[in-house]
Amino acid sequence: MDASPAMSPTVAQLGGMFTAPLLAGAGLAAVSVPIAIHLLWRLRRRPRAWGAMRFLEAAYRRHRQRMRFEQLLLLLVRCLILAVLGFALAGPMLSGAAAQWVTGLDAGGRVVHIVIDDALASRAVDAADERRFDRLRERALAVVDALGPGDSAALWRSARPAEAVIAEPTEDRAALREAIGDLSPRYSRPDAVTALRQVESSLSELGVPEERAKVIVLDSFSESARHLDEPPPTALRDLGERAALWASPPAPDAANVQIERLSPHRRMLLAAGGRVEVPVRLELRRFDRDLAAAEAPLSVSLRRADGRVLANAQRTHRFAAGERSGTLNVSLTSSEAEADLDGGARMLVLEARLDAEGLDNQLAADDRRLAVVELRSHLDVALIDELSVEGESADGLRPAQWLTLALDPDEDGTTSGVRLAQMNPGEVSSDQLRDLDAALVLRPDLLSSEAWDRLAEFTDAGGLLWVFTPPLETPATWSRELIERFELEGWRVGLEPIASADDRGVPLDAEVSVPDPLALLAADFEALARPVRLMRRLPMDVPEPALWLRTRPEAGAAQAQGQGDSVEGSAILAGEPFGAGAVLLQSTALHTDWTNLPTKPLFVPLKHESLRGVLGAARDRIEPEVVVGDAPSFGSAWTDMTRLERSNANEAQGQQGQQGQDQDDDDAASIALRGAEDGRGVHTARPVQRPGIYTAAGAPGALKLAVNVDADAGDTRGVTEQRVLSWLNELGGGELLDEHDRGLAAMFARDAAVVNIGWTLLWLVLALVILETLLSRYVSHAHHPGRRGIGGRMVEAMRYLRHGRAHAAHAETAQGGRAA
Amino acid sequence: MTQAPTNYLDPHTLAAVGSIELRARMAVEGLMTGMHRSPYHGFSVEFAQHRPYVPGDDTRFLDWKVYARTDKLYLKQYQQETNLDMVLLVDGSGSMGYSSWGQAAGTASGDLRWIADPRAAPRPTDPSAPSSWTKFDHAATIAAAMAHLALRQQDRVGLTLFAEDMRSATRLSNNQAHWHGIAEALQQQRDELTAGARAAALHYDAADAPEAIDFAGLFERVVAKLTQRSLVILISDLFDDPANLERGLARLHHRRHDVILLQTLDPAERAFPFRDPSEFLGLEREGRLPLDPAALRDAYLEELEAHLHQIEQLARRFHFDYLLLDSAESLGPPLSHFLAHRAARIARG
Repeated sequence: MDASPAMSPTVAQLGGMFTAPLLAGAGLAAVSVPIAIHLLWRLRRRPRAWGAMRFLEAAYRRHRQRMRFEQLLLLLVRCLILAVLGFALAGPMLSGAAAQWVTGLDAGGRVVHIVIDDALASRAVDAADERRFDRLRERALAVVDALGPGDSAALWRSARPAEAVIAEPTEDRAALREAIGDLSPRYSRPDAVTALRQVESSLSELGVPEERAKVIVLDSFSESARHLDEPPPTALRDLGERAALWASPPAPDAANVQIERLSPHRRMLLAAGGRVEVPVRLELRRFDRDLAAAEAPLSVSLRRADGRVLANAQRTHRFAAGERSGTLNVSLTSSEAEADLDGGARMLVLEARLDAEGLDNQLAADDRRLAVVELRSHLDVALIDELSVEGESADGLRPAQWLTLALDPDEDGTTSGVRLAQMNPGEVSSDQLRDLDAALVLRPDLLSSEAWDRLAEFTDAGGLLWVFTPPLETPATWSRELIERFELEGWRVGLEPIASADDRGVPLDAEVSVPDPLALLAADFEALARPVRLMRRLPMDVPEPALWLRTRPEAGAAQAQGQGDSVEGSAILAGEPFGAGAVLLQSTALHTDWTNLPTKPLFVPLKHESLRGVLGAARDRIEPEVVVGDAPSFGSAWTDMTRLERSNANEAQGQQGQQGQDQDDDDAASIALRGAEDGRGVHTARPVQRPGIYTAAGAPGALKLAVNVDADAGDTRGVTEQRVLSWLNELGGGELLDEHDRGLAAMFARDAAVVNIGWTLLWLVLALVILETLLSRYVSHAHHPGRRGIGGRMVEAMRYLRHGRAHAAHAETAQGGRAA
Repeated sequence: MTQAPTNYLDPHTLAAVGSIELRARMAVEGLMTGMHRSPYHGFSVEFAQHRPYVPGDDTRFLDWKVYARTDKLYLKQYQQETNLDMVLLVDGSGSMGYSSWGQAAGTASGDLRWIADPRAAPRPTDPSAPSSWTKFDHAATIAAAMAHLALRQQDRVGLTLFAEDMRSATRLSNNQAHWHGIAEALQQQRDELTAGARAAALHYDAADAPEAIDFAGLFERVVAKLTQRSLVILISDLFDDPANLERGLARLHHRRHDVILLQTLDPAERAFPFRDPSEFLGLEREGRLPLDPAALRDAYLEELEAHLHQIEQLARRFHFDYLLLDSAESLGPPLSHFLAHRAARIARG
């Protein structure tokens, strides 16, 4: 029973070696003819009385062995003639080195490019607890086993970043098997298109003819393979014509639940008051065809870099039936975070983990998410204002006093975490700005050109510059200096302040979407913004990304057009990054004649959140979102860093099980950092391959980086074969491999680069005929046609045809004459 | 239609004659008619030559008639005339019964067509005549013809027929009627051989075939019967170990007998022209040997040539005459050879 399947491909492969297998069989059967004749001749010996027997026996004894050898040799040659003739007429196909040896031509072998999918979704396990990747790896090994003599293969991995494992096609089967065996799945998204472009480049560079070029895409083809839905690049549209293109069948459906995003609302935390509160937003997502109701238990923790847990929380998200994604807000509070801070800064790690027990979750690698937040003891903020009483409002408070009350009411920074310092606009210097986190400019009109330069340098280095419109009626020419100095493209600020048509002032637009730094205010923003009125303001229009707050449109807005106001309302607060920092401009003054904002509840959280949000999001220190496969670059704060070292502390508590299966840990544990061309900042020498917490090494400072799996790559749902075939058609045509490895080998063998050696064999037949003729004459010492072998008979036949009947008649006459 | 006299020496002519006696007569007739201009003068020539007289010569031999005509003294020289005892040893063994004629005629492929001599082709024969010309036919005809010639000269002749052993022997006699007995003995042996060959063709059994000859033992017995020096004529195919033959010839040589070796072979034995796979049946109990004759031809001929060379060397060593006869060739050469040998013997005195 077991022999049948093993025999079938063998017979099929043998049959596939001939274009007309029946003729080959006939040739083999014809071998029996000379054998039968040989045996019949032995039976049909003519009895002959003989006198000189003693000489005959002596000769026979002396030459018996030689005669037997000659007879067998002659018989063998005659059998060979028939067998080879049958094979020649059957159109035998040979490939690789065998064809080259037989034909003497450089037939060459196939050049096979194996593209194996090692993306995140290939880590999904099926019902038999087998990883998709392991199945693909077995297929790759089967392809290597199916390679014929002279065939060579290259190996590519298609997860981002797509790269070659063996770029130069090699015939070394052992090296190929070893390379395939060493492969392990990665955590990034699939990027088969880039891999195929590299394959296409390789084929072009090597000049491989299309009949010898084979591309085998071994892919699980889940929904995360975005390339299935996107048109291929121009260079790949004829790939199927330039090479035989095969793809593995799509993997069956697999369910997955993942933490899509872990977002701390504040990336920079201030340890004011001895307690640290970390609000966290968790986004969950599941990829499942059924989408049944399910509960997803979660744990969120805050810990130090050394692994010490500062706070944690357990939550459960309940997916309703049909619900694909969900959001969870968790707030972690720690009273220990401030310990040992000693007035400095510290990087803390946020980790969220999904408890997959009880869930239909076949991919575990995306059940964990990491983030880094920075804990600081306080912020140093300077108020750049003229130290005079001018500009006092009716309630006797100057803009600086409003800000002091909002940011540092204790004037020592202990409770608010903000330490304020006063600075004269005429004394702005680099030394004074060096240790500041933010500079709030209340009298921009008093800044000299040099002061603007110093502030630009300060902002470029990562500081926050917040410019407030002074409560003056003089033209705001400083706004031109600001726009020009900070290259604020699209910004238009009027020189003259305008008053609202309504005596009560125009309200803030409460329906505007709040910017990211103010994300914590989003829930209450409408309530906070509603009582705010703007009586006077500088007309300001900014591009959408820079807009933070604006007024509602008012009736007389049309009159204001051309002065910077827009029909949607005038911008009140706008911000834009500059270098590693950011610049903010408030178009109304902190004066009750201009706005009631300082007296409203929005004022204090607006100032605090703006400071924390902008400074916390500064790219200079914390990279907000890095996923596996990225090659991130870092700001000037990282300039002296030389390496990224993956921390083992979080691994000890983190990714048990699946991490142990990876074999490239050593490569992923350390990544070199290289300096940027402009000398500011660094970038990684190669993409990050493993998720985890990385610590920058090479200079003092505890800069850290959280690297997560690419959540979009976790869509493990299967696709239909039709979609894969459509994709192959867009690549110029291809076909799906058989489901079984045996079929794969047979299909692969069928496509072997072949050479028809029929003519070669016919030449061999001719040579054998000549050999048989010579051998026959030698062995039998023949003197008449019947003893001249096949060649001799052919010559006789030619003579007969040439001389016709006259020749035959002459021969008959000669014989008759003798008889007479 | 009359035959040319020389055709009487042709085996194909003689084969048409059933009786050996007639064959011998025809052969002698052909020989004598054809050599009337020959330098030989018969067996009874007494006067040999003249030579000038020298003092001391016996005057009894002066030729007075020459002296009377020429006035010069010459002596007449006479050759000594002796009676010759001729013993004919004729081989009647199984191998002598071989003939390629029948095979040639009965072979569709014409095995003997390679023979250039057109006379070798089969000829129509009298239905009553034998259909083949065996080596024994050839030998018997020669023996009978020689006996006839010798008896004409009043020489004593004896015949010994042998096969694996001595079969029959006639006494030495110069009686003219003795020739008929010789011919009859030869005819009888021929009939036996022919019958044996036909039986073997129908059902071959090696055990039925005669054994090979032992020449040493044969000559031992022949020599014992000879009381004076004789001319021994051995007519055989000599298919025996040359060592045995050597011992026998040495015995004859020791007794100072003169020997003529006439080795008779069939043309097929000398050329081995067979091509088709055959099963060779030994005529002297050698059994069967299946083989492809074409493949073994060269090797066979090498063996045969080596054997013939050994026989020739033996004859030369003992100063015996040796003549290799082809049973398809004319009978003239051996008979002429015989006459020449006879003349030379007389000349030697």
